[in-house]
Amino acid sequence: MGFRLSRRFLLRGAGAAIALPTLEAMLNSHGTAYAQGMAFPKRYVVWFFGNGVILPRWRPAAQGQGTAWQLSEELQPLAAHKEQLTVVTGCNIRIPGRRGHHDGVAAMMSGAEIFPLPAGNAPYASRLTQRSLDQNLADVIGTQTRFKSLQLRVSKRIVRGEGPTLAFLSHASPTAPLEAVENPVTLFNQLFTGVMPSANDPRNTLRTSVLDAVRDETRALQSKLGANDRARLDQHLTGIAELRQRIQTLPAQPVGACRVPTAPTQTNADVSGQEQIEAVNRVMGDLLAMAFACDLTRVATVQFSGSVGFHTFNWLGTGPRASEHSLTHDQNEQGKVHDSVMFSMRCLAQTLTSMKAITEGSNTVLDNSAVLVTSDVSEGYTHSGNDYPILVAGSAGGALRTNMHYRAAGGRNTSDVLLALMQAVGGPTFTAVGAGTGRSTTPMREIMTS
Amino acid sequence: MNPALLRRMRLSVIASVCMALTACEGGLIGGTGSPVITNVVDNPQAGGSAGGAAAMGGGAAEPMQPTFPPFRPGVLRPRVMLGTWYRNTVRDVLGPQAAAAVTVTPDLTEGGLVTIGASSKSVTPTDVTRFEDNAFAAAQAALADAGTRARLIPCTPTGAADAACMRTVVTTTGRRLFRRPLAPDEVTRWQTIGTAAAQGYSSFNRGVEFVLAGLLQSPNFVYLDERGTADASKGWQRLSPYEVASRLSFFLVQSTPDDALLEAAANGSLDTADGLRAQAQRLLRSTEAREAVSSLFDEVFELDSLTSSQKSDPAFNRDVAQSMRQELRLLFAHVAFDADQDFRDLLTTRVGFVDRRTAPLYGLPAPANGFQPVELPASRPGVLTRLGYLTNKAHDVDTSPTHRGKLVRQRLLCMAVAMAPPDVVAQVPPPDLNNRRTFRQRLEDRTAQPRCQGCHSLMDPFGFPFEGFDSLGRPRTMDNGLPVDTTGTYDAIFSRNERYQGAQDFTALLRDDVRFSQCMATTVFRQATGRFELDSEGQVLHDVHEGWKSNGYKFPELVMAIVASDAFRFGTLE
Repeated sequence: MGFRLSRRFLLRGAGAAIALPTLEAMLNSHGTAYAQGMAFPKRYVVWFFGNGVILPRWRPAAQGQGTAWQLSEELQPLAAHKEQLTVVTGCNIRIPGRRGHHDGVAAMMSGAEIFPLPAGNAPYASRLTQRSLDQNLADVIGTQTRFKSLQLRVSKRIVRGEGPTLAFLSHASPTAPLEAVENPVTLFNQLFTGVMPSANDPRNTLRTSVLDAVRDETRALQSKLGANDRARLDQHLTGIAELRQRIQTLPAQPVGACRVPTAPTQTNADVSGQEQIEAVNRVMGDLLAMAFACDLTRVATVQFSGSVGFHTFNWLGTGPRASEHSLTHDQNEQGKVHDSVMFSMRCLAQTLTSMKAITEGSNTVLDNSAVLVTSDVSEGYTHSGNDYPILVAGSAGGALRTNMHYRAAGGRNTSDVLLALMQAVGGPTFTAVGAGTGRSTTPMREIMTS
Repeated sequence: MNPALLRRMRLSVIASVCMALTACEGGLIGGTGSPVITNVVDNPQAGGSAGGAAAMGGGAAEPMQPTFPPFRPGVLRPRVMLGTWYRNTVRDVLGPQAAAAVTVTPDLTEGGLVTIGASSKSVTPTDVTRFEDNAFAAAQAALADAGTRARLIPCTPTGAADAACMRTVVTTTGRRLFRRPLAPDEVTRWQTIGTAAAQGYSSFNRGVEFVLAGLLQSPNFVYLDERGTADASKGWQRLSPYEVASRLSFFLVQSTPDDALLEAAANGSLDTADGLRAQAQRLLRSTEAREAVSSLFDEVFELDSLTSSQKSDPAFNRDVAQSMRQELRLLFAHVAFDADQDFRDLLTTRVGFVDRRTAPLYGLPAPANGFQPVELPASRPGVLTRLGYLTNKAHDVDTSPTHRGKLVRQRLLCMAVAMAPPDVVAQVPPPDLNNRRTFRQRLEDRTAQPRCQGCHSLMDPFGFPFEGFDSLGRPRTMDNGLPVDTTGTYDAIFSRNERYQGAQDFTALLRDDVRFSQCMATTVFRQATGRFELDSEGQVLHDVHEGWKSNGYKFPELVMAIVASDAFRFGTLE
């Protein structure tokens, strides 16, 4: 893979005082790339919802592409996006089964098994054994953007007591989970309120000097520690380097489709003890789409609802106290579980709409992305890891097939899908994902265009 | 292979052994009073038969004189500043305005305590960003306040570029934030940045802003790093006086050492056990120590989940939950510090605290404002009969002898309970109108199989005594139209066959169970050191408990016994 200038880099080169050329003027005649040969950036998103699906109502009946297949009942909320969608069924998670929910998150985020932790008062606790794949990808495609990756969360009712596996999606290392932003106002401020200091304001230079001093002191401390603690401080040093990079890149500029959106007022606070999930999701989706359009980041994870989770979808008539997770374990409440899946897919559709609303040449932000949609179990009632629910939205700039239902045979490894997505977004440098029985070196070519 | 990994593997082996035995053989793990289960303590680092609370002579009819491996203190690992520590330190050094300007995120819990989680947490990129945001927000808020500004800048700068005055700022505030005097190169590093900023903005105060913001991001602030110096006579690391001061201060008042404590470190008085005790006694008299004890037992009783739970009973809401939680926090501090009493009375005291939200649930008149101390009826002995515990460890409408008993087993006796097998739907069937049964009866029906009893017999008998209290802690005599049954056998698995009738009998038995006081000593030891105890510290823990016992189990005496122990002042390096 050759070195390509990022759009951000180009902006920096243009200089803040000079009027920037319009984005369109920089396009090639096909409208798919910059005239200089730079493609639009590709993005990777994991959109996660907890507690699985009802498989008979989730799986499309027929497989094939285009008109050969139709959306299933639980995919109906995504009807407006069928042409951008690929449904993969028939895959199993192949890591050693240790604990329901935990296994699913670990398999889909890292392709490797979990590591049990002392549970204390919790029923179980674990962390990952490998860093999450979005972070591997961010190492490759996130080095020129203001944020190496973003972690977002919609429902706040996540399970924090069972270790990092259930609480977080992105893990910079197995012991360094990345906390997610759950307040849209905070997210907006982080993304869009970076004010360019005037030429004679030394602020960013001084912030950089402070960080360099902090880095030097961190290295000095690290050199005195044993191997385990040295690894902990590696994470700290990585964080310092990333913040330094962010200080030195420009804040969002209104170029091309990039516009600083109206500041949201939604803070993800409960109203009468009830989460405002649909409203929060809508704002988060808008901000995420614009973060991509402004090339502030190229990698994001969205924890729509937590693995297990305490979230309740009361407005579906689930009762004031019935969390989705407790419903899944009640044989008589599977209808409400189905309603919950439908609700989650409606919210997903909203986010895809936001991404599709922003055009990039002849494509949209969604087209230039690969959005992996998955969960922590196949079905909550059984805790199964077989016939895993997997959707991919967007074609990663044409690298992935769309409008397709592909049903894999023989309980194929879910990691094959993950590797296909890594290659589609990050290129052929990704030759393997995962570890142990979860490892894959065989990308699912059936969903790729080449 | 690294030792941490080995320890973790050992834990998973213990857990799987318990699972396998309960699943395959059924009934008790290895038989009545078996030696197998005495190893199943909640400490993943205790491997040998002499380790942990359960092996310290507890439970068995004839306690043997314990034997312990030779003493070796635990490994020193840097702990990342906890949210509470961070905010309190900012408050104490940079003032209340600065403390209000910082945000903290939930801490990582390991083995039920965030202080242990702090020893394995890594600082993530998100944390680094938050640290920077907080650092500048705190610095700006502090300098905006004239009084605080005067305290932080104890010299009069001759101009923006006054390097000597900047050095003074770095030296004085740096000592509080790094919890030790700064080395000359450290002073120069931060003074140079401060002076550069002061010159860049032609403002000395802006320079101070960058100094404060830098110190607050420094690893010397962010990590509670304990290295000690090699002690040839012992063969281990002896913590430096400043490290002891930090350890003591964050343990007892959840904040950075104050000037008096740093002075004690400087003048050598912390080098003696007496000097250390004197400082500990001083800190224990502060309001902050009460808060620290309340927070520790808030964690032990898992009260976080109380204020985040929802119930359909209209008498329960977030405000009521908050009051229930506060009631217990007041009780913890009261038993620990007031009336010079035996800490084990936590389980039997009739002293309670009610406010206008909780009084009606106790059937008491509501006080006009705030919390009032009250004497509750004899049927309400101790913390386990109070609303907070009873509500927190209950289902929505039904009680939960399992959850109530599990807390007693795990948090008050420090013993592990394996998780339910993954294929089990751990749910008690709903009432059957044709076959009327209490919740206890339905639970016993559901868990009657041997594979369930392996673990449920460790939990449920500790919850049955509280069946006289409903899911909001109100007294009741009937459940589902039938009389409630609050009788049981105390701890048959460990050959403790005393029968109890209700909460009064049970809490009296638990109060005098040596495993309870040993577990409390172990818990406070973990809080003090930020790690699990090692087998090789068994003798120390034994001595700590004996010392506490001989001083009437008064809480401050437990703290004294811990801080004076070699395990508190020595460590080993990884």
